[in-house]
Amino acid sequence: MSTVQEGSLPEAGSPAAFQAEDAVKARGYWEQVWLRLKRDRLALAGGGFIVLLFFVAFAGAPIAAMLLGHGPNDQFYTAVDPDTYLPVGPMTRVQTPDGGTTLFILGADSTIGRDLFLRLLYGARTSLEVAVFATLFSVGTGVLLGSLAGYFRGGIDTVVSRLSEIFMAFPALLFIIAISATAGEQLNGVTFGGFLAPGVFTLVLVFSLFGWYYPARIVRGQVLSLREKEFVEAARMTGASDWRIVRSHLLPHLVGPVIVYSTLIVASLVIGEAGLSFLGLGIQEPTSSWGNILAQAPQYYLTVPSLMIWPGLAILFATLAFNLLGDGLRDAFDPRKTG
Amino acid sequence: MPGKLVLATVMTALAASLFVAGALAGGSATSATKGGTLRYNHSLSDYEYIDPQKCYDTGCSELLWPTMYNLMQYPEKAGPLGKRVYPEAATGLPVVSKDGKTYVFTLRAGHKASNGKTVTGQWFVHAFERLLSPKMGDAASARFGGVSVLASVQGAQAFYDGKTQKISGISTKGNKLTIKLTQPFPSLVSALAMNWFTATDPSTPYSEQDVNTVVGAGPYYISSREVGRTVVLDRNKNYKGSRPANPDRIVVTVGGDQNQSILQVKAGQADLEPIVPSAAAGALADEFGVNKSRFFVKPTSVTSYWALNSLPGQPLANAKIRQAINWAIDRPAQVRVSGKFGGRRTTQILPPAMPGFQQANNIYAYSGANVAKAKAVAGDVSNVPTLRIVHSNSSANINRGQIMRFNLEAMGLKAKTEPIPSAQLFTRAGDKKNGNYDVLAIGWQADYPDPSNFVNVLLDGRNIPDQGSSNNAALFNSPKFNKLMDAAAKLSGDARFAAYGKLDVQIMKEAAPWAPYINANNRILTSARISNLIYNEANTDIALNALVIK
Repeated sequence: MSTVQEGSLPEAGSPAAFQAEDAVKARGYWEQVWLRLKRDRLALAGGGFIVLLFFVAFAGAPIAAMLLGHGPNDQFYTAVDPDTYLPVGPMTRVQTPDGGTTLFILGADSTIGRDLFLRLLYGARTSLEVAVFATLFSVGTGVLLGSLAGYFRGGIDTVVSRLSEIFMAFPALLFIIAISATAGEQLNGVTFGGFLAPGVFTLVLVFSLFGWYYPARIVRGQVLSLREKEFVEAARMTGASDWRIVRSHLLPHLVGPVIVYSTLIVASLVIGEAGLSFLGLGIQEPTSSWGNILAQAPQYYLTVPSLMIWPGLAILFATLAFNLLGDGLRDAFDPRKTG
Repeated sequence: MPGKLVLATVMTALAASLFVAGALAGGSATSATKGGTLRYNHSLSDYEYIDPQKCYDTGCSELLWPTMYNLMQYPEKAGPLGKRVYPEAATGLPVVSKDGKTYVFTLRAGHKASNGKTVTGQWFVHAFERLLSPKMGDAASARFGGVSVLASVQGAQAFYDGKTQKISGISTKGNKLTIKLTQPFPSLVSALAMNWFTATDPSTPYSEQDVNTVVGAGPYYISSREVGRTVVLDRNKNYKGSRPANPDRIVVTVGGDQNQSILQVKAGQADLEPIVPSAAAGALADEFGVNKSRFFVKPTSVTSYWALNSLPGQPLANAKIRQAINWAIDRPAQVRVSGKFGGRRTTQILPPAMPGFQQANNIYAYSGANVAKAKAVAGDVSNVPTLRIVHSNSSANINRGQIMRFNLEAMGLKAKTEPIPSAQLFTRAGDKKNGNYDVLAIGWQADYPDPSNFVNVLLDGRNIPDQGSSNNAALFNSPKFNKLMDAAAKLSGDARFAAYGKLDVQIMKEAAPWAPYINANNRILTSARISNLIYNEANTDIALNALVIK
């Protein structure tokens, strides 16, 4: 097996050149991305945690409920300490109405006496539903509008750009409060036949409404640059339609930045959901979410601080995982990063 | 003789020295009880109003009490003695006409307020006028049915409507103040102890805005206020009355975090937190004991309840279902939400602190079989539409709402909860058209210790307006009970209290317009340097002016 020494490159067409081409294995774009990503252990750990989180939230929660014999919204008044009137602590066996007992792995969530562990698992489900669907809708809208604006420019670009500026200037929190106070009850009831938890649709709508303009601006900038490249010119000369150019020649170049942005935005939406639910504007009781679990905790921060710690850790690790993966993907998609 | 003279001289000298020593000891005791700055934490939020004619909650009434100088007043005493109203600005009890419609008060002469002016009858007239004037905007009277309290004063309604410049039923001449009523109002004397009726400088303007200083004719006055931060009360140097005035100054810090406040009081960085958070009560009781040194649990005259919308045509118009709900709700769980020493469980309208209260143990007594009992009482509830449970968005009420929902669903009803801000809750309560609730979490604290202030004010169906909110959150209107309320209101003394006590139980047994669950306690923490905490059960206030800083 021959090697190619730096500073002694063979001339093209020479036998040595053929030998060198054999030695350098051609790698595709995605393979190179994967190779770069593989070298980032933190990103991989983040990705692994996310996979685990999805499994725990969507499969683990119902399995845990079945094994424990109660649901996340079931109230056990025996899960409140009769002496202190505080929620019971971790690994407490709680008496059930039929005279049996059931295990509260992380204790009770409040003086209502619900299982904190199950509520955390089901809360993960709610948080992920909100974050993932809102990301899909906001990024999808952003990519569509950004591509159109960047590719066609002119009037469409003006409309999309001004629209994004208006949305950026709009007081989103006030709008959310107004929505919550007026149409919140109706919107919270939209669950698509139980597919989504109550309240998820409202948050997805709100986050999508106020989340599309950043990806739109990123994509617009990219497309403005790409549309001047030779390969687009070539495609246009061969008679490709605008739709084909956008779909087949531009969008593949946008996959990297869009995936990176999406990963990072999921993390911020997990925090957004928790924040709004904490303020009472997001997911409403009895549906569990990390935010409304956390909302119960401040009154106990001197007496049962673990009520704040568990949902806090869940939010911390979930956002950290998405951020680490996002950072790793950003580096992996960057061909200048050779690692 | 000389021996007797010597003995007499020695005895005289001894007596004189004892007298001087006693006097000195007395003097030092007095100086030990007076002085210092009381640091009072009023956590969570600022006062909505400190204007005496606008203030209508326990927080501001506690703040104003040391500044107040009323015709009738509650003493700074605990227990039953504190419930006996006494003449403060009046020289004695009023002279009441035979028909019970005219009250004549004789005023003390020469009493001076903090601004140096002498208090006259006009100061009390002005209090009534500010309370009822349309120029005051959303004064307490307008917002909370104060007019109904004062409806019996001649000319009150016309003045309130802006038709007259003076209230015809109130006049003053010399040291006499005359109040004329359209109908007997036996609890007037108690009502006059409210902060609304405190002597108010006639130069105090009418305003829709709140005030930042309050002239006090009582032992203190409000010298300054920084909205959202502090309120300062200073001693009224012109006060010559008998009420205590121990701290030199009372500095109220508003709007902090309750838990932080507890830490401050425990560490001696603040002196008083009158609202201990529910989760902290147990630990404080363990540390300081209850009602011993620093942690105090005192009853209020509050009943917290679920108002069950009884309006005809509504899902809960049927008394049987309302009774069933009373059976179904898990009151122990509702009480536990308030934390340790949060209050006592109740199934009645009147709180125990209210004169006339009769303990009835067998109304909706809680046992393990309550759901079965509720189902049996309610019968088939499959046709009852989804009940709308409305409550404030406080953490405690969100929890109570979840318990209520859980209980209703256990008895076969469908329910959904709607947490809303407290301000919205009050605008929706008792609103026939726009209330949009079936079950509403609310509570009531008596303005003065008379049972009519609970029963008639909250359940007389004739007080429900065609539009807007009202105190009758259950929208309960029963001709039978309206008549019984009228009959009880006309009585006085023990007969009055007995009638109301009976009516309380009868309403809950037969009509069940409410599902009451707790008579709340006040949980109070003081610093180590505070003593002489006097809690008046009539107005459920701490006498801030009586606190002694060691």
